Amino acid sequence: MSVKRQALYLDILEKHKGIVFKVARSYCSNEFDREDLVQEILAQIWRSLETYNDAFKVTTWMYRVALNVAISFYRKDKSAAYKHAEMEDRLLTYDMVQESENEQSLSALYAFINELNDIDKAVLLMYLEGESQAEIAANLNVTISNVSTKISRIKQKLKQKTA
Amino acid sequence: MNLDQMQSMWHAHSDKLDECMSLNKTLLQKIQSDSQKSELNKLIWARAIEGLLFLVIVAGLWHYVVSYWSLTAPVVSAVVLNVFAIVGLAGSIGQIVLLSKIDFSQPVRETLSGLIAVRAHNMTIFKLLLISVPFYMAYVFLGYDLVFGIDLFSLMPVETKVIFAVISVGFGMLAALLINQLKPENRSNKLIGWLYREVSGSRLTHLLDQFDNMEKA
Repeated sequence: MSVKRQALYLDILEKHKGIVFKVARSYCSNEFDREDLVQEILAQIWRSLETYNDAFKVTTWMYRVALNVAISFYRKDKSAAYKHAEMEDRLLTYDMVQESENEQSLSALYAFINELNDIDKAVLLMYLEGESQAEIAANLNVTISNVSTKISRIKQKLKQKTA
Repeated sequence: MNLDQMQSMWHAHSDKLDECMSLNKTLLQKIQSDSQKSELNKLIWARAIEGLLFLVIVAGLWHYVVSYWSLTAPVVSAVVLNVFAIVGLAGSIGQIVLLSKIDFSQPVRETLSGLIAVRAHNMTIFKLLLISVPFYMAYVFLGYDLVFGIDLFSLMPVETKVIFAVISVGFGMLAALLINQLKPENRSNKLIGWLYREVSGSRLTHLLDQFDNMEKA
């Protein structure tokens, strides 16, 4: 295990662990599945570091890895829930109290994201992060017009939801 | 709430997350040491074992062909089955190459395509088996020669040979029809959808669904 890789891994995660949390919460409403997904993403980030290219913006690289894992993530059988039910330790601990004032609106926001299909979730997450349509298109490898249509459709859904 | 309001809420949430979250470094170390046990690595081992089995079959069949070389039904059968085994071996090697190339930092389309190709392997093997169905007598002729030392084909009356030939043609047509329909876009068909789920598993259908979602503009 290279010391440099290990240091880079910890550094990236310390600075951008929020990305892992946001992707996992957007893709899994069930907390046991979410814990599995967090594990999968963190393991994949470690593996992908072998081929990490620093020409990339680290957040873009991390989003790509996290979204690819989340989109291809297959929910395991429910017996996994029992395993985690006994496990008190979590990889990412989130202090809900600190965000309690926003928690209700945040839950509504995540509930809306959860209703979208996995690709639309990816589009919305990158959009919310402030990525341009061209960057979103490049991260998915689809056309910009495709991204634009997806964003319009998400806007419509949001309008219907809040109407 | 509109998307702009959502975006500002998201940014506030992102800023707060860094303060609210902590990382369990002990569990993280466990993840790093277990990282070689990934599912894709397990698949590489499975394909390597599968490839080795095909290699043993190919070697065995070649040994038989070379040892008993003559224009008899069992030898021709061994050559036919060898062709299928070689295709299977090439498929396993191709899968190992494909698995080692999957990169999760690539754009979603590339990663999904790679994963779909990996998960479709069982379906490819199933199609290979379907193609071999019209040659089912090859197994029988070879088996009779190996077990009983009898060239069954030479003992068959012409009428029986004709019946088996007609059955093979029938199987061939059915197999061609089914293979032609076994495409991801035909999954809405009950039989094709069922075969996709049963042969390749729900993981492939999940990935194909995501790929369709990406294409939809």
